[in-house]
Amino acid sequence: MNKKQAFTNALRFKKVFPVPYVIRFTIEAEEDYTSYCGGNFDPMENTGTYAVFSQTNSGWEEVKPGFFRDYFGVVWNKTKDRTLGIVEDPPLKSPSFQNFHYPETGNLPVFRFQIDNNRDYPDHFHILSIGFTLFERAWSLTGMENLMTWMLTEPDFVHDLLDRIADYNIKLIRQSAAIGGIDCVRFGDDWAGQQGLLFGKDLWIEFIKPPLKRMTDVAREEGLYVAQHCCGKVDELIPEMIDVGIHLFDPFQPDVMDVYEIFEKFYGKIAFMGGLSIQHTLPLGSPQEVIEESIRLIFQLGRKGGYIFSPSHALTRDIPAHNIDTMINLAKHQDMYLNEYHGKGYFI
Amino acid sequence: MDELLNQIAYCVEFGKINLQSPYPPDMKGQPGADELTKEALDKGVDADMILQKGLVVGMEKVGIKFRENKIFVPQVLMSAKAMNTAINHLKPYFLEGNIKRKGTFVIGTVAGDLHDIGKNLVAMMFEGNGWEVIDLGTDVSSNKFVEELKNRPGSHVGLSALLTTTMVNMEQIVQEVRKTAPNSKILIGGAPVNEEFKTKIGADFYSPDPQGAVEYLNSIASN
Repeated sequence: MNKKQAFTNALRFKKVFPVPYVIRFTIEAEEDYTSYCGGNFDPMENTGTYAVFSQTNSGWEEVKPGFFRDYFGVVWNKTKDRTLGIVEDPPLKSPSFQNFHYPETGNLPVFRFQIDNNRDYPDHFHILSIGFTLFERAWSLTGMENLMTWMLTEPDFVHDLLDRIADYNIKLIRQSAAIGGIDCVRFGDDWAGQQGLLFGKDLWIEFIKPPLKRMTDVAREEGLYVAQHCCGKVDELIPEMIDVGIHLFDPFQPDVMDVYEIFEKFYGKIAFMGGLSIQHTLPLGSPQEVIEESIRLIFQLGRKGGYIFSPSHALTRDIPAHNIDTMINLAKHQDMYLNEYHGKGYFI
Repeated sequence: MDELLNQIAYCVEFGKINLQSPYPPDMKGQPGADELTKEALDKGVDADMILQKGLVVGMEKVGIKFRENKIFVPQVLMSAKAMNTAINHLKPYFLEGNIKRKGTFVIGTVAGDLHDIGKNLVAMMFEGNGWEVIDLGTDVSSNKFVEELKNRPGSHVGLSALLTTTMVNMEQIVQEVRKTAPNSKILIGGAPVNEEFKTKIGADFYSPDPQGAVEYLNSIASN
């Protein structure tokens, strides 16, 4: 069974061992870890990760040092945080599309990445990752505070904006599916903070759910799995995501939700990816704590199917290299830990 | 007079900015915090009374409802807009010293971090609770905090961070602020921050929500 098949089986809630896993780095963390490895580190090869991502958040034009223009023409300041960055100047300063031209999906760099990944990683589970999918794309265009208040004062404009963004994403999905080789579309949208939803469930159902459903329907029609990434305390929306037709939710942050309880509650309806704390265990814990938390996730959740082991975010540069070593080693050699932890009661 | 102040508090609580504002829908066509504050001042209501019995009362309710997840960021932003329009009318009275603030709160997102929405929400809540707020923005160095505190003795400090990679910068800021302003209270907040981290870096208070921070400093100010 290759990695693509193992990943797919996990999404179908079939028992699969070793448990598929995904390990990704932020730009800064990858540089640091590569340096720690003596300059010789290939994140795909050396982690053994099961999925390859073709991302829309790559291939942006650098307009001046540290500043990048995305596909929508929004300039991002990445001088402090090169992976995410912040919007320098949102183009939609009033609730109007006047003088704003929607981009075409046309010949985006992501399609080139997709073709390269098809060639280089044919056995991996291939994910088309549409970053800043709806809410984030909208606020990158309007500014976050504007978007949030316009949800209340200019709801027609916000609906229109989100519909246009969804139309763009649908074109992108269709084009990617026509190229082929993709197994899954992953939507990325942070709707929540550490304490709960940013704009509440009612507004999510009003503004986000309909276009999300439209995009999901198209992806499923193309025969693709659909993943949803959303940081923060978003557990109250999991039933909604199931209703929309999402197959896989990440990053499954243990710092804001009881991952074991949620996994059991929604088992068979939605799969989960993540679970290893990027806020505490990885940056602040000992290697032994990394082992304990990973083992529990892999053997309590993973062996049942419906779970992809992963940190709860791309690795950040504050994570000590020895914890990254520990996690990679464990993920690659689960059979070794299977014996070691046989007596701990993590078996199903 | 009480009725007018109650109306102002209500407008702040529910984010009714002015007559033209379409929000909230059930108050369409009614005057907002803007008109009612002006009316109160025209009728000779004391500016300090408008602040304390109108704006502070309204924003306290907003803070509590936000903490309890009964309202969310959009509603808080509308309330802050309503509050700000009222505060604009009160500005001359602040400048003349006719309104007593609870104190000064210097806030910023720490060095290396450019995220500001959480910090902005906290700043809005403090302003609406009768504090003078000095917002130093994002990516604020320890030097900048220290310089501000030198110019504003007796101020308290709020540090915000979204990322685990930047929250570590809070520790150095706490150390530097302690040297310059040992009596200033230092509050921290942000997604990765918690009580344990507060203790570790020697800050005075951690709150997962803006209202908790406001209540803490209100209790300090009232002693």
